[in-house]
Amino acid sequence: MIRKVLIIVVVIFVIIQFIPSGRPDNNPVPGKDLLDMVDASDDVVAILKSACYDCHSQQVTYPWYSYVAPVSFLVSRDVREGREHLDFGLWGDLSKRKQIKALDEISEEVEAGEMPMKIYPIMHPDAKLTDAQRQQIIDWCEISADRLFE
Amino acid sequence: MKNLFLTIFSLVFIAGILTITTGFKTETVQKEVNPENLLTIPDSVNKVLKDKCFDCHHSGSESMKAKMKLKLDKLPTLSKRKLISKLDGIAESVEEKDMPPEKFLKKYPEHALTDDESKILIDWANNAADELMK
Repeated sequence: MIRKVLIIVVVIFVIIQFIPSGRPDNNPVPGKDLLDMVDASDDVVAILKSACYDCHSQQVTYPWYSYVAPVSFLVSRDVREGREHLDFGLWGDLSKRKQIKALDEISEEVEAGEMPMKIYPIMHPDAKLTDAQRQQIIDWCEISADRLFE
Repeated sequence: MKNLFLTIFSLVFIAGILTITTGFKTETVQKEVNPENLLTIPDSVNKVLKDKCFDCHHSGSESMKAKMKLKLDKLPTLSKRKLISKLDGIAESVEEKDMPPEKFLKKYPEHALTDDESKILIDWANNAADELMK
């Protein structure tokens, strides 16, 4: 009995490897990325890269397990949805007003602990932000947003 | 007889309390005025906000999510940056019909925005946000 179940599980595992995950490609546009346009300290750059850029950019690094179904489906969905909400790689396409809103929403979500998503730091320990790091992001958002209408 | 009098009296009393509290609630949108006066809310806009948005989007709301995103009673007290962000959010979410939420409207269809009301909100929020950008 156990053998049968195991065989079925393995067969399903092998079959789903042939389903395309629709993993989004990276298409960086020079000059359009947030970090090409907005000043940020080395600390802030490091936090953004490790805690945000793997979904919200055109510089996503896919770990090996993101090529294995069913994890590949989850990763692909997260990147797709992350970019839909906010894509730092296309920062230059946003109006100043939208940039201000994006920065304001980043600060709100980081402060409330909604971003990075709880599941993300499990495999990416660098993305587990300390209170001090959260505050650095909040301060950077506020300064950068205020610069846009001054 | 005495009982009847008491019943009527308490009913009138309750009705009075209800009128005062709901009346108060609907007026708070306009009442808190920003000392810097960054934002004016015309009556036509205020009416739509009051009738269709305020129930969820105010400081005392039961919906954590709604009040985290937008507290209409605090709108006039926000910084310029926050105001631009919130106004842009109002225009965008009404325009894309994300607000009021579809699920909510199934239960409370009377909160749906008419086309006129949507336009009033979108035009006001867009213009007010652009004005602040200058």
